[in-house]
Amino acid sequence: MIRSGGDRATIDARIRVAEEPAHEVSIQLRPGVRSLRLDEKRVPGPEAYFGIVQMVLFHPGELELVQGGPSARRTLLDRVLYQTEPGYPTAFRDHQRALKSRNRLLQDEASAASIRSFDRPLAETAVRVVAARGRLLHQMAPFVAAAFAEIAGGSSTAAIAYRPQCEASSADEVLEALARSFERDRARGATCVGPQGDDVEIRIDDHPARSYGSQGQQRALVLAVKCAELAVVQARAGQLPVLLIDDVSSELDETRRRHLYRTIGGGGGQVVMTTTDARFVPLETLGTGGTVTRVSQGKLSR
Amino acid sequence: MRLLGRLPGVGERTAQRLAFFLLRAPRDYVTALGGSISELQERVHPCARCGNYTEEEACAICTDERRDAGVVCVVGTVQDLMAIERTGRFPGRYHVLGALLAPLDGVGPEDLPIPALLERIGDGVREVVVATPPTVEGEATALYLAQALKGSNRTACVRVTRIASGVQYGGDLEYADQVTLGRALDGRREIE
Repeated sequence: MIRSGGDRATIDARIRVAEEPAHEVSIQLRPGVRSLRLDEKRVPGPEAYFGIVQMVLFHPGELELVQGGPSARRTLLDRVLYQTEPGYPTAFRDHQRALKSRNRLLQDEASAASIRSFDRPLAETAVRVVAARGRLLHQMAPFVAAAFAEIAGGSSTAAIAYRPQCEASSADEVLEALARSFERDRARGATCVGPQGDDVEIRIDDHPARSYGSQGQQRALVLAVKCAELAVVQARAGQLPVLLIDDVSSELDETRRRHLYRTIGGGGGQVVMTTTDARFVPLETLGTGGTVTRVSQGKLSR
Repeated sequence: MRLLGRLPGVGERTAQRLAFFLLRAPRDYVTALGGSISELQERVHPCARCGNYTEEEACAICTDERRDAGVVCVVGTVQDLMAIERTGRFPGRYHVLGALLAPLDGVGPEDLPIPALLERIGDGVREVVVATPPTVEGEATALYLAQALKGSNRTACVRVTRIASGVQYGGDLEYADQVTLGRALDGRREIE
């Protein structure tokens, strides 16, 4: 965040993974511009540093995963895939670009030939995005079920499953679906077929979690999804991710907080937590070596 | 230094280095360089036939009788044309589009010299090689051109080909990205 009256904000970090030489990362924010530097070189996009260190973020808005629309759930998948699947950032970015291009042509009522010329690049990238998301959900599902059983206790069960908008497994099948939906796309001025319409179905006792689950169950489920994310990122990357926990304590009751800390404490990875109340963070359960930094009136102190 | 710094790939420090170099360089070199730069845009212009840069009306490739006029390679930019020329493997002629279809940048088919291409193809051209880059815009442009060529009576029987994309020569398969490797597999050939 840029301080009021200032013209920029800078975050510098030194990242050391295992025994490798440390990387220097610098992020500079100016109004409307975000620039990244990795080891003093400008990097064009976030892909360059995503592969270096994996991160899992817990923040108070996570209840959106259960209560909100599909975009929060797609973001979760994309964040994990960006960090753990080497070809994914390119596939996702190219898909976005092809999609925006095609949608622009649809809105401008361009010729059918112009619009269709973007179908193949769109279909080829869509298939790769869908395949990667499918593999990830397949890997995450058992972790979610197990974590939910442990956190929620009782006999309730939870399940998550990938619900792609288009089930096609080849670019040719996506092309056919695009051709079938052409007139509808034109009428809407937007492309209806593809992973931009994907969702993740989350169920409790075989009912939609959003309408069926109690507040407590929904919170337990979100925590279970995050624990599964942590486990899957670790399994895929072969190293412990850094956990970033932003004021999550206020959202969780005592039992769930304890479960979260147990999961973190057992992991042994680096954790960065923020809280407005130090009582929420029991340093003793998190092992040794913790550093506490206080932020007061915009100043940091240890 | 301010003007030098506007050149692509030239930062503040390089601009300074270039300026000091020019200050100390022999006078006739600086005069010749300045003359070339100021005449550049007056003398060099796109070839009337293919869009390559030339000082004449038609470029050296278009007027070279040894080149195969039956094969035309469509490229996005003159730089791409030069890259293909450096391979020494292409015997035909070129058609430079100057841009690629890019709705997000406001570039549509009407901004590309497609009518001129269709016009040229009618005269004894057997094959059109589409060598736009393997990007979203490059692929879309290739597909649009293929459709335009097939849809026109004069050019319907011309063979339209796309350059292959695959694994880099001397590269490791292990490090090739999935798309490149996948395409290399799709485009596999029998070993003779």
